[in-house]
Parts: sequence; structure tokens; C-alpha cells
Amino acid sequence: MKKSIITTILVVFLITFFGGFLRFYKITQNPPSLNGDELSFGYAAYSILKTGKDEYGVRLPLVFKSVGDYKNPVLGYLLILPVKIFGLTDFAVRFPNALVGTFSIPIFFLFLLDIFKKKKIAYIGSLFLAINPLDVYFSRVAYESLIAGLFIIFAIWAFMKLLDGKKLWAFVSAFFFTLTMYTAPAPRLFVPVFVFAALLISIPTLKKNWKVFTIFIITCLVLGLPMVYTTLFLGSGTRFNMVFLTHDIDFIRHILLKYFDSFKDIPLLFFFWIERYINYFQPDFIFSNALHMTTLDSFGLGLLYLFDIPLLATGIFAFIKKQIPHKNIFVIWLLTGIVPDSITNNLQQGGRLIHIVPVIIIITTLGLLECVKWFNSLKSLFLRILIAGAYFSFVILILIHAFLVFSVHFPNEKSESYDEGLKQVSLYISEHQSQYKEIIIDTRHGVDAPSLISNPFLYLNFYLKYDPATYQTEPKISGTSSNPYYHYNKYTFTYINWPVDSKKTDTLFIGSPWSFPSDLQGVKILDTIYLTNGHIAYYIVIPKKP
Amino acid sequence: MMKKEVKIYFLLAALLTVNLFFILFIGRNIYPIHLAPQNILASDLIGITTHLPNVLISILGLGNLIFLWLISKRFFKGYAALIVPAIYAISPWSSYLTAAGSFYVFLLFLLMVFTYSLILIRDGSSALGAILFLASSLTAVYSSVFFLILIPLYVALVILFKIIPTKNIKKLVVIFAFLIIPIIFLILKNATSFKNVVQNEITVFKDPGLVNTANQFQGEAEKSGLKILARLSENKYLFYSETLLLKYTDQLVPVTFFTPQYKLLNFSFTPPIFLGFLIPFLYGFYLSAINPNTRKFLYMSTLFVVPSVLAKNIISLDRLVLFLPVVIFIIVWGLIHMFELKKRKLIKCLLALSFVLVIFQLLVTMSDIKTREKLRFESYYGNKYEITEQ
Repeated sequence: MKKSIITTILVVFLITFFGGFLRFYKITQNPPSLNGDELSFGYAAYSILKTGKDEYGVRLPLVFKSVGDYKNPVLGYLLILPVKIFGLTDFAVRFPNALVGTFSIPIFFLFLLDIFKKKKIAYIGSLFLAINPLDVYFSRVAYESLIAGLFIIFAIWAFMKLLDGKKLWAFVSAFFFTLTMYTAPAPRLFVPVFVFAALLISIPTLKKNWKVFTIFIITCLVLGLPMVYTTLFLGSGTRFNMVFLTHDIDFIRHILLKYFDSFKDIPLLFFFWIERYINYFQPDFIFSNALHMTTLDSFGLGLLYLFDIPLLATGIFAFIKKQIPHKNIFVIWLLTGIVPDSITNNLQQGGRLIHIVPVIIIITTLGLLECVKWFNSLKSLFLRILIAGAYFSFVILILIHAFLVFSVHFPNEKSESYDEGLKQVSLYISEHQSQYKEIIIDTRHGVDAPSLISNPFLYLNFYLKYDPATYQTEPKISGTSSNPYYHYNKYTFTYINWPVDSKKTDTLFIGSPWSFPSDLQGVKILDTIYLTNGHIAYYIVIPKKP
Repeated sequence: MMKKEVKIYFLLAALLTVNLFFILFIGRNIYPIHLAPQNILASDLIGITTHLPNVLISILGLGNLIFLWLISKRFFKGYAALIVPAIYAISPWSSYLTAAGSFYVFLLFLLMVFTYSLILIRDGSSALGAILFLASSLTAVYSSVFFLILIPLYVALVILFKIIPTKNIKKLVVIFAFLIIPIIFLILKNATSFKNVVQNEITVFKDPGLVNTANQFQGEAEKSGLKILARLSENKYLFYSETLLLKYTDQLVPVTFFTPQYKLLNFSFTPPIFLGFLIPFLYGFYLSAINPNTRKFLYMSTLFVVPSVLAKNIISLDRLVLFLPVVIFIIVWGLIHMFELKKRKLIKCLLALSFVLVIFQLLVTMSDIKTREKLRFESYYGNKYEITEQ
């Protein structure tokens, strides 16, 4: 008995260690740069640590205004301790996600063991989670949905216990469900829809244990009240309005052929939503491009690896046929989990589906067990060797490809969208800013066209460790959306108009090659910042004296 | 008994009328849009242009409906057999392609006749079965390069899976083999023409993006000193295989059939099959997949997604229409079993939801076709009214 426990612990430790390695290895270098969201969370945590207020001067905020997208607060607060320990560094910002991603593995193991009571399922499931491309990718960036994904496992696990009628689990489940909603935007929609559907199918149990369910609902409502307040009065509902499906370009341009402005348009919107929803079950998305890690999204990585196709297909049948505890809850988890992303107008994002990954992994695990059963039933040794050889070769090739996508293609092809170069720009400014009266940074950049807009001030605040108390109180000048402009201290963030701006003296200019004349006439280049793929990201220049 | 049969014929006639009106309705609203006509393979090989006129394609479209009913009668009794043609009659997929004069409606007709002939042969009606078998299979083989491969392969699988006793079909196979000698002879004689036809039909490998991706990946890996790994796992052959695998699975997922994700005629927002049928489809698919006998048919029928797999686009709804009867049969299979279980509350709710959705979407679609389809076409293609293959 003892030996068995030690073996289990050892195996789970090895899987976790391997998963941790995939998540922590070169975490500050890949993805190649912190993105705007990560910096915003990091600086907000730094600001709270130093002053007790966020960068806007709000004491212990329930919602982080950030750059107007009103972020959920949990990650911001989680970052305070790492920032305190490691300082305001790239590692500190990415540390919580990598840690959560790593610890999700043994937790998922325990979850599977508790629900299925079979070690085999728990081992395979946790191994699949350890190497899952989606989970690995989002464990390497400060991404709130990954943390929410772990809370959802806790919440649903407790909910399953709650169905057995234990009072304590009502509190635990309600706590984690609401905590999830404070953590990431997608669960704000997922949780209410899931809870409603789960309660609906649990009516017989609900009737038996109505007191426990009442406690659950009341706890959810009480804990959720501050969130309702922030949504209605503090602007955190803004994000939802911005990204709702009615603004989808494809819907407006190709389907409705006008702006959504009347109730008569609802039927088409409904069918468009259904199309979006069902589209998440498309093999291309699941196996090839959900992560958008390569430029053309071709042969990238998805929610699962390509070698999971037969496992998933078999797993679906095994899942339907087999007696599985809380099967209905798993089905609802999967089906309602897609709702949040399906009603947004953005490109389909694998990241917003991270909370349904456990269900997909469970199905794949069941599929693997069925496939092994079928394989063992084969009588011909030759056939067994042939099938095993072919499949394992395929697995190895796909894993090599995944390694290359992570380590080579992604930094080469997507570093631009991670604003690579702005860190180096900030470090340059840090060293040389005393020589200039004003520093102007162009917010537009891009190799093929100046089509990407970033927020360089986030990088500057972060890497200069700009004093939060000063930032909160000093005067700032902001422009409008049609005339982007942001200025504080000696820093100006706007579009560079070289013929006019080049007349300024004692001014340092930073911009992509698009910000300056193509022949660089009248431009004195002080430094050039390159992307991983060798393209020029930024020039740091001053006007050439005639 | 007689009265019931007459009623069934009346209902069938009604379905034909509904289908015809639906086709005319679509045609009237998207007129003069039509697909580029396609040559018959045999005529192409000898350098004679032979197109099928649109009127003939419309008639064959109606013929499909009749053959679907004839096949359906062998599996479902009485009025239930009419559900298959009923779904076909209101299916935008076949109706759009018929209205646009798709060559694949003609091929679908041949496939229907061929399938019916196999059923007749299996059931012992040898004379009519043999005539239809030879007529349909030979016309198919002489008309399409895909059928040149798929029909013999299908017959081989029918024999291999013992769906028809070998003795019933042996003579026919010999005659068939003898009668396809002229096309083989034509192919050998006109190898260049045949190569052109094949290249025009199998366009999946023409996508330069795939080779570009392989080259780009290998170039990036080479710079990082990982060239060997990239050559091993990111070469064009592996990418071709992966593309084919993904494309094959793409052909078989609900989003392809029940949503306008892959647009009919490249521009439409009308789904190939109404969404409400998704529920019985999923149930029917599950029932078919767990039953070893029907599973065999499922495996075999996926042969007919091959023309779409080999198209340049991820999905070619034009070519995939050959698979439409299979989808309809799965829907009906699920629907009939759901009816049998209708006393269960959940099943009753799902059936009601299914019907409500079909009727609702039918109305929305009719209104949408009338008001927006032509505009959508024009915004996609300008005034180019003849479109190439999807």
C-alpha cells in the first residue's frame, strides 16, 4: 500500500516536473517580449506595492482601468508578491502563471483520481495536461484566463461534491466560481451560464438538498455583488460592449450588409452566432491554429496536437457510451465553455477556451484507453508493430514540430505582435534620457505596414521603474482616438510627423522605419533595434543638423 | 393499402413541386449567377467540349429526389421513407447547386442510380439492377475522373465487406471491366489531356502557401541551427499528409453541413442544411457509429468526400454534395429513432427544438435570399456572374 502511494507520488512528481520545465524554461525570452497586458498588470502591482494605489491613484481597486479595457483584478493582486520578491522584472510578471500552470498538473491528477477513481486515467490526463500546447503557451505569459481555468476546476470539483449534498462544498464552489469571475473576462459569462444549466439538470438533487443549493446561490450572489457594482458603475462592462458579436466585421460587411441597428436583424445574428459556436468544433481550429503562433496560422498549434485526432474521435464515443460520474456536468462544462468566446467579435482565440481544456483532455484520455484496448485486441504481431511504429513516428514528428513552433517560428513570426523592441527602447531611454528635453515615441509600428498600435508608455513605466507616486499625481495630456497623443514628464507618445517634428531641438525620436523618410535623409540614427527575425523594429534617432 | 400508396405518390409529387419551387425561387433571386460548366471526361479526352445544359441539371436534381425516395423505401417503411426526399427538397445545398447548374448534381444523380442498382442487386432484382448498375457506373466513369477511381473502389469495398454476395455481382463486374476498356484506351492515347484533366481536378497540391510555409519554417530553423529537425518534421510531404488528414476530417464535421461557414457558391449565408437537423444528425451519427453494420457503410461512404478533399479550398461544397445523401440518411436515422423515444421528456424537447429551428431558419433564409443574396454576390464578385469551382 505504502509502496503504491510512493510510486504514485513519484510519477506525479515527474509529470509535474516535466510540465514545470516546459513552463519555466527560458520563460523571460519566449514569448520574446512582455506584451501590453502583462506590463499593465505588472506596473499596477508595483504601484499598489509602493503606494497602495493603482497607477490611476485608486486605492486597492476592484477593477484595473489599465489602458481603458478595465482588467479583472485577481492577477494584478497575485503579482504583488512576486514583484516584491523578484523586483519589477519580466520573470516576476510571468512567474504566477508558470507556477499556476505547473501546479495545475498535480491538482488535475487529484481531480481525475477523485472523480474517476482510476489512477490510469489520472496519470494519462495529467500527462496530457503537462504537454498540452494551449496550457504550456498560456503558462508562459501573464494571462488571467489560465489562472481562472484552475479556479474553475476547483469550482466544478466542489460543485460535483455539492451534488452529494455537503454544505461545506456549497461555500467552496460558490467562492471559486465568483473568484473565477473576478479573474478573467470569459468566465464572467461562462460561470452564470454554466451554473444555470448545471442547476437545471440537477433539479431532482436540488429538490432533495434545496438548503445546500440555497446556500450556494446566496454565497454566489453576495460574493458577486462587488463585481456587479464594478460592471455597472466602474466601467468594467465597457469591454463587453466593445467586443460583442454585433460589431463583427464579417457579420456587418458580408452578412447583414449594414450596421446592426434593429430587432429585425436578430434572426441573422442568432444564426451567425450559431455558426461561430459550432466553428469551435472545427478540426483546423482544434488541431492546427487555435494558438495563432505562426503568421499564416497554417501548421501552427491548436488546443490539441494533431496526433490526438484518433484519440479525440474515439474518446467522444467512449465518453458517450461509458458510465462516467457527473457526465452531464462535463457536457455542460464543454458546451457552455464556448459561449463567451463565441459571442465576441474577435478572431477565435484558443486562450479564451482554456477553461474547457480539462474536459477535452478527459475525452482524449478516454480515447487513448479505448485505442489501447483495441490495440491489445489485435492478434497479428506484425499489424501491432506496424500500427505502433507508424503512430509513434507520427507523434514524434508532431512533437518536434511543436518544439520548433515554440522555440523558432513563434519568436520569428510573432515577436512583432508582442511589441518586441520596446524593452530595448526603454532601456536606451533609461540610459540616455538626461541628454534630451523631450522624447517622442511613435505608437505605430509594423514591418509590412505601420498597422500595429502599441502603448510604449507601459514599457517605459515598467522598465524605468517609474515612480508610481509621481505617475499617479503628475499632469498628463491625452489626445483623442482620432488624434492619439499622450504626454507626461518629458515623454510624448504620438504619431511622428517627421517634416514638422524634425525641426525640434534636444528631442529624441523613436519609431519604426515607417516614421521616418524612406531614404533616412535628415535622420541621424543613434541606435537600431531589431526583431528576432532580423527586421528593423525601431530606429532611435535625432534630426541631422544641416 | 392502395389508398396509402396513392397518398405517398401524392406526397412525393408535392415534394418534387416544393423542390422545384425552391430551386426556381433561388434561381430567380440570384439569376444570372451560374457555375462554370464542366466537361464530360470522355469528351475532354478526345477534345470535344460537352456541357450539360442547366435545364438537364434541374431535371436530374429532381431525379435525385426520386432516387433518394426509392433508396429510402428500402430502409424505412411507409411515410417515413418520404422524410429523406423531404429533407432533400428543402435542402439549400442541392437547390443552390442545381439553380447554378452544377456538374456535381449530375454526378450525384449517377451516384444515386448506382446506389439504387446495388440495392436491387443485393435484393435479387437482377435484371433492372444490372441495367441500372451498368448504365450508371459506366456513365459515371466516362464522365468524371474521380468516379473513374471511386466507382471501382466502391464496388471492391462492397464485395470485400460482403454487402452483396460475390456471385450476384461477379458477372456485372466483368462486363463493367470490359466496358471501361475504351476509356482506359482513351487515357493512354491522350495522356497529356488526361494529365491536364487530373491537374484541373486535383487542385489541393496547387496551393503555393503550403510549400511557402515549409520553406519559411525550414529557413527559420536553419538560422537557429535546427535545420535537421525542420527537414524531418516540417517538410512539404508531411505537410501535404497533414493537410489531407485535416481536410478529410473537416469534410465530416457539423460546421460544414449545418452552417454557412463554407459559403454556398462562395458568397451565400444560407447553410447547406438547416441547423435544426443537427440534433437528429448527431444522434443518428452516434447510432450509426456504434452499430457495426452501419459503421461499414459510414466508412465506405466517406469515399465520396474525396473529391472535396482534393479541391484547393478546405471544403468544396460543390464536390461535397456527393456526400449529401449520406448526411440526410444519418439525419433521418436519428430522427426516426428519436420519434420512437418521443415519450421521454428530453427527446420530446429536442424534437420540438429541431422542428422549430428548421421552420424558423427556413423562413429567415427565404427572406434573406430575397433581400440580400444578390447583393452579397455582387459585393464578392462584382459583375462576374459565372463563377469557377468552389
